[in-house]
Amino acid sequence: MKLSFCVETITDYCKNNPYTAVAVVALCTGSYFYLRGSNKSKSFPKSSLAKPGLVVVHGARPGSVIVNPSPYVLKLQTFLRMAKIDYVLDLNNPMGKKGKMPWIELDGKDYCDSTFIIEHLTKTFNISIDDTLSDKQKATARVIQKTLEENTIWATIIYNRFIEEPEWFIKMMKIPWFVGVMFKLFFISSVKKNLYGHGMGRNSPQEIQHIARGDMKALSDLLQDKPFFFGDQPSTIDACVFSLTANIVYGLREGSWPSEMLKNEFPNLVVFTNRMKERYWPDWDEIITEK
Amino acid sequence: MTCEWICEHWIISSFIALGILVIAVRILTPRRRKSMPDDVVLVHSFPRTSFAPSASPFVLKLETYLRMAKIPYEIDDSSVFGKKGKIPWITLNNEDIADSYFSIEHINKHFKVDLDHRLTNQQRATSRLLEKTVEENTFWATMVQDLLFDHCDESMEFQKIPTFYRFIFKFYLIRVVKKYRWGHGIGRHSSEEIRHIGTTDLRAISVMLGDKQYFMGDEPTRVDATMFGLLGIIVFGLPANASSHKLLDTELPNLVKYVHRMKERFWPDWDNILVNSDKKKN
Repeated sequence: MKLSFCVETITDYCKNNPYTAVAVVALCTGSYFYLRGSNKSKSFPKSSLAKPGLVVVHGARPGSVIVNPSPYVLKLQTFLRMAKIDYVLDLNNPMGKKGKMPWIELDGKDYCDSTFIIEHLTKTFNISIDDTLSDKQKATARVIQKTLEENTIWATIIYNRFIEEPEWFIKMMKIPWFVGVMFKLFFISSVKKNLYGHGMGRNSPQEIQHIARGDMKALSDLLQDKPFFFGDQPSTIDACVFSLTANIVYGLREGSWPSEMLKNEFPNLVVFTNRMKERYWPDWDEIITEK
Repeated sequence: MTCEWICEHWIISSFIALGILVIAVRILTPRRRKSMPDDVVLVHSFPRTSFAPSASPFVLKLETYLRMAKIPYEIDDSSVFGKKGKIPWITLNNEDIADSYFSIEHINKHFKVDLDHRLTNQQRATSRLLEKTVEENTFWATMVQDLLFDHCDESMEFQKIPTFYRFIFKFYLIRVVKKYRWGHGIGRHSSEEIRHIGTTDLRAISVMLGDKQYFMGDEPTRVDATMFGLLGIIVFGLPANASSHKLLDTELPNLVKYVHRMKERFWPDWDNILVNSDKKKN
């Protein structure tokens, strides 16, 4: 009886205030769909740079001190250079269908996620840079990669760049001040949510530094004084590690705690970073000074 | 008259009801301040289950670690979440520590324990990378994917989850986990892609174990607690046709043997701990 009284009250209200009722329903429905997001695949126009056999990489543009501020884009680009696959960077539509970068176009099809892209390109182009690795080395490479990409990156680059020192990043990327305001308002708030969902965001700053130190020590102890992680020639995992360490050494403020930690406590990783930079990015300075 | 007021002011009434519910939940589920002897760890976790000592691989990891290090502990199964909103967390000498990783770090420092003392720096490094891979990647791509998404109904049936909790799982927990997975990044992939990630991880983990008794050699070390935590739940907590369980059974038998080896060594009371188990010994 009480429920029917409520229902009757609602229906009476709607009859007496039809416009208000419609507005409330429209607002709720619109908010729901907006917050849920679209499940349909986004489709982007084909890149004007596309050519047969050419990998078109979509991602962030170079910064003023680093050739790519996204470790995932830098990993992919370094892999492509290592594997001698022709590619071009297209700055249009940097975020792919999954809302992340990089993504690529190749011969009319698009592919998301740097790991899946590298797997696909290795097969398509018969890349043999990992062929000399034993099964145990390939398994070790897997756990190195997953630790870096699912743990260390969150504790170092994402946390320091977007939570602790976003102003430095905005200045480094030469983002106009009004765009910087939007960036801090929208992008950084979504990064905070992602950090919380991941779990890293629930830790205190000291705990995050402790986690980062543990990961970097593991990397440093595995590398020791070898030129690359497995043998005298670099493999895919070296591109992966380089993309993280280069972003710490060059892609964070000099004097920030991840940068100081790497330089002071794990110098062999800095030596490794510069070795990879000289080998695969001889045009580093040209790229970061290009307009 | 009250009912009339509530119906007339149903928006305000809803907010008041919600507020009362939240306050009631907080009052009725306080953090247990059980009086504990010195140097006995109180592990805050979920209640025991019918398939494993805990439904959570992180609780199973922590308890296994305590057993490996021979540190006395008790279980508080009131399921109250710790300050980071997760389980497990511990209380030791009146100090609360959240997160299984930091709990183990604290335990190591307090009890001067180092299960890895025989390992070289390189082995410790490999151990660390294995642990982080399993907890930050493999966990999401195998157990979470199978339990909550690909094989949800069968898993809940297998784990004998009461009907009321199944309702909460489906209409609340899964939504929350979807948001967490989206933030993590793995949730942006298709189910097939997530299974591929899980499969690749499990295969790599199998290669890392090889034909050794434990991950770092002939004796168990810290990483074995983590590995047993997840692999144990996959083997005992998921139905046989769940993708990750099936993969272990069909292609990665060394991992299954490893799970049973760890269970026999550190959980001889496994059957007695399970709830309403048919295998419960008298």
